[in-house]
Amino acid sequence: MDNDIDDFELVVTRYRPEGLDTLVKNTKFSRKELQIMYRGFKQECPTGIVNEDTFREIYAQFFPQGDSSAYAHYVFNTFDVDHSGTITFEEFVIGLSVISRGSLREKLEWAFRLYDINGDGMITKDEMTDIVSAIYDLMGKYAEPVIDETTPRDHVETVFEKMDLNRDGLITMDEFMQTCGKDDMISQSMAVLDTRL
Amino acid sequence: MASVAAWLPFARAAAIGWVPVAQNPMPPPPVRRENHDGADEKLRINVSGRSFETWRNTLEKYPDTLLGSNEKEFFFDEDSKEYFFDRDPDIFRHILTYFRTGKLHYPKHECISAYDEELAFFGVMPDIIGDCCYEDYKDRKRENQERLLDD
Repeated sequence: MDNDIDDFELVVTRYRPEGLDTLVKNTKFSRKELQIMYRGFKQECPTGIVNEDTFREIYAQFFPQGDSSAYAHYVFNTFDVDHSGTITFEEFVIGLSVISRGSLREKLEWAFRLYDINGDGMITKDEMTDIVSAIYDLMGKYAEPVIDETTPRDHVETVFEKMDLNRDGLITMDEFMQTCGKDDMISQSMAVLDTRL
Repeated sequence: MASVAAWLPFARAAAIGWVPVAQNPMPPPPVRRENHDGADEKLRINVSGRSFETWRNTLEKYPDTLLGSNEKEFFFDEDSKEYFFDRDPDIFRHILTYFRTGKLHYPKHECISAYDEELAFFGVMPDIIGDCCYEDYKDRKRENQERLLDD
């Protein structure tokens, strides 16, 4: 019985991030912002590592009206660069620095990796449909106008119409960059999503 | 929710994933709240001479309680700039832990009536006691009721 407890305690892994100074250098966050973020991170993940379940729970708290689990899953995979199934504070904060304070190109690259679910460098209609459906689920019943089952498919057709320049049913990184980079609405929207702590 | 507030930049930033497929521009960011910095303020709670410190938003997690609401302002001492409570500091530790972790523990060596009274004072409901301590708490409660009936 005692042995069971010892074994159980042994498997609890802890992770300590690199020093604050290193992270100030490697990210676009201030010292104070990193402190606030690390405290929030440790509060939810006392071991210093976030797994997908925790990640989903945190996400769900921001979108209580919809089902955020699918979108959270795709975002988690994009942050979990080495596909270890866990995210350390560095992975988290370096990824966050890119998507909240990076250049337009860096942000678009992140979005491309999010849509490219299998990581083969191309976005298919199926992949795009999965992502668009996940976003509709996240919005839940507050989506406007009200959505039905065909909406994500129709939506994906519209997006492909715009981005699939050579009409081969696939969106490459080049096509994605060309169409999104030229789009004023996208450039402006990308800029409003950062938060200063 | 308070500790989750630190994840807000993340929830917002991850929304850039929607931008390329969005049909409308993103709305402008909400106006910054005036007390934004205050939300991260550290405050000192003096319980019969023993000093505890915590973040304001740790307490605001449970707004129905004394510490989570403005009820605590009745106990603020302007001279020492701290909240003062003429209560039991040993039991208070468990109440503060509840705000930090969301789990309420029952210290077996404490008298159940004294414990219940502190919970009542701070407006923390005993029905949120964690599974780890719930059986102990219930047993002690039952014993105590039987004892009172015998008298």
